[in-house]
Amino acid sequence: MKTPFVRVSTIRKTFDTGTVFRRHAMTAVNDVSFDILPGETLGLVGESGSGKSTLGRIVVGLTPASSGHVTIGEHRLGALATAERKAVWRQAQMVFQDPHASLDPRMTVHDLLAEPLRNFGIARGAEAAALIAETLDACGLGMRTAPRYPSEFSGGQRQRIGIARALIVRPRFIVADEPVSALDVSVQAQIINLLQDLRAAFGLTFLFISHDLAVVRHIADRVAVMFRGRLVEIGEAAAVYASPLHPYTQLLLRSVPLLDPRAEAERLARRVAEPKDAAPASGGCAFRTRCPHAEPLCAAEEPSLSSRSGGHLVACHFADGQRRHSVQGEAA
Amino acid sequence: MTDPVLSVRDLTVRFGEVAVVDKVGLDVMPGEIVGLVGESGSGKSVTARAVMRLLPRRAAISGSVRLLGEDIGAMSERRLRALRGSVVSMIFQDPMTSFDPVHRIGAQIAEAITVHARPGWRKATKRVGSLLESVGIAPARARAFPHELSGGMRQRAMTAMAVANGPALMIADEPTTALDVTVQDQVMQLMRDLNQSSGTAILLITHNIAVVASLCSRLVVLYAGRVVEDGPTADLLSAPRHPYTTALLRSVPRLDQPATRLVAISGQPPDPANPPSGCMFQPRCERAIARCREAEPPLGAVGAGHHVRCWRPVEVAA
Repeated sequence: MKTPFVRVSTIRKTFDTGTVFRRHAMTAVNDVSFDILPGETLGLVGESGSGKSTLGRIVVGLTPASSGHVTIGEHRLGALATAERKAVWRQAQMVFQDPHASLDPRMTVHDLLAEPLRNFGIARGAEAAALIAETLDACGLGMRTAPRYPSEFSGGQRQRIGIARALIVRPRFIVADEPVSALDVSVQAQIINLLQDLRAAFGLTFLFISHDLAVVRHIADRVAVMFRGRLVEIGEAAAVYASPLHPYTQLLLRSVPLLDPRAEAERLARRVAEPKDAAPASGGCAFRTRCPHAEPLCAAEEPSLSSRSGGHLVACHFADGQRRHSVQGEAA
Repeated sequence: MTDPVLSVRDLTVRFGEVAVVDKVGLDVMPGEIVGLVGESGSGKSVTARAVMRLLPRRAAISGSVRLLGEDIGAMSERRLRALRGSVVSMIFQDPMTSFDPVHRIGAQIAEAITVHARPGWRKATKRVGSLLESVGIAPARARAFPHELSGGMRQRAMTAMAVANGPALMIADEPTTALDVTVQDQVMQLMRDLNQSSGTAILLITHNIAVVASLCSRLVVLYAGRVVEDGPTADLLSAPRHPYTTALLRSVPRLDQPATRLVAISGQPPDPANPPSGCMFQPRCERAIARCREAEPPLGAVGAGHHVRCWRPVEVAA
């Protein structure tokens, strides 16, 4: 049994919302735990507002958790002295969705890559130049790009710069939050392939966050599904896509239009109308108001994440009896 | 032979020296759903706005756009305004910015009705209720403000407003792009239902090939402001003839096929201010020959209703 490289334990994050007069707490991430093995890519999927980006920022240490903790390598985030925190940040880097917003427009590509090297005291002078050249090359950018500014590049090239900046400190772990969502289809494939190549070349561990189920299927070894701040299903990618156990995962997979006309016709024939304008559930299972299989038990008791076969975990009272509904993927 | 609802010929839109849309032609027949596919900068949204005459004054438009046989270019602003929202309506990517935030959605839909007809307040209110119901929103929600609705509900309310006057054509510009996948599925079903129940023709503009493939009977593929391929959806998906269409289909991550390494298209779309010589796709094309750099190919027929702009179209496997 391999030791996990990243351990996320009972993470909870609440934000204060409302007005000055009526404050209330909104729970963005609720009691989430998972491990990522060294060299593994865990895909994290969910709809907007599911808490997946907040969780990603907590895992990399950009946002503090309200409770729970994250361990990366031997270090536990949060309880660190400054020097130690730097050591963790060198190991764990983040790639953002919009490289236009995350790269300082007044810095050249060279400066953007030299800055982390200087901040972490990794290299300077000729040594730094060699690292920059090597990293640019690994990311499919030539040395010619070094003196130019981010604004001179297209979206795909800019994302390569964002990736190079994360990679320059030679991290062991990268959290990528929707790294290809803002890109055109033809460029998206380039970046997905690049991330896969870098993972192999540098032995990287990935947390890959995306709303796009097809992209995650291409890149992830395991998949975690979030709904309203909770982890509802996690397992080997092949197992989750072939036979999703949670009704929400089943709904997600059923909702994706397919390119193959025959598979799409079958998908449409199987389409079940979702109850519209379903009010968010309070108490019990958060998905129950949208769930076609909800029973009184679902309102009374919140299901906990429990193990099925082969490390496949699901938070549903009736997941075992619903296998027959998980038709997505079998037709393919 | 019936006449098309929308007929676009040689549509060219220039901003200064730069042609963003170059000699685009397409037809939408009554009751048909046609997909206009392209990446950002391919000119698909500009084409849609040129059809509605919603472009800023500095845009120089040439070519012809005929709506139910009537030339839009020759119309007065008053006539245009009468057509927009009645004969042809449009829905946009972000319904939050297309609704007025300070008015209730019911009142806004009622306004869309009363601008074009005078049914009286009570009748209009009743119609708003049934329109909302037809898109799966409780009529009582007519009193909600746009911000009180979820993204999916806003897009459905927007669709209700777009079909309020029974348009012959609805232009939908990336209607599902900002939505979650489960909500996207609902909006797609809504468009399918509206098309079938009222016979409204739809011009659907999106970068998502799977969405257009599912909804449209015909596809028009744009690249760098030009139509590079058009034809029946089934033909384009099973036997694409343009190298760009072929490469695009191979580069899409798919749920319905085993996960293999994606075949990426190298490089990026051309800068419209600095286009390559000859064919627009030639710098990224694996099949390019000298001729492709010398002259731009014309759009030629390769099958029934199937056209491709290429000197060396991809062969169809026998």
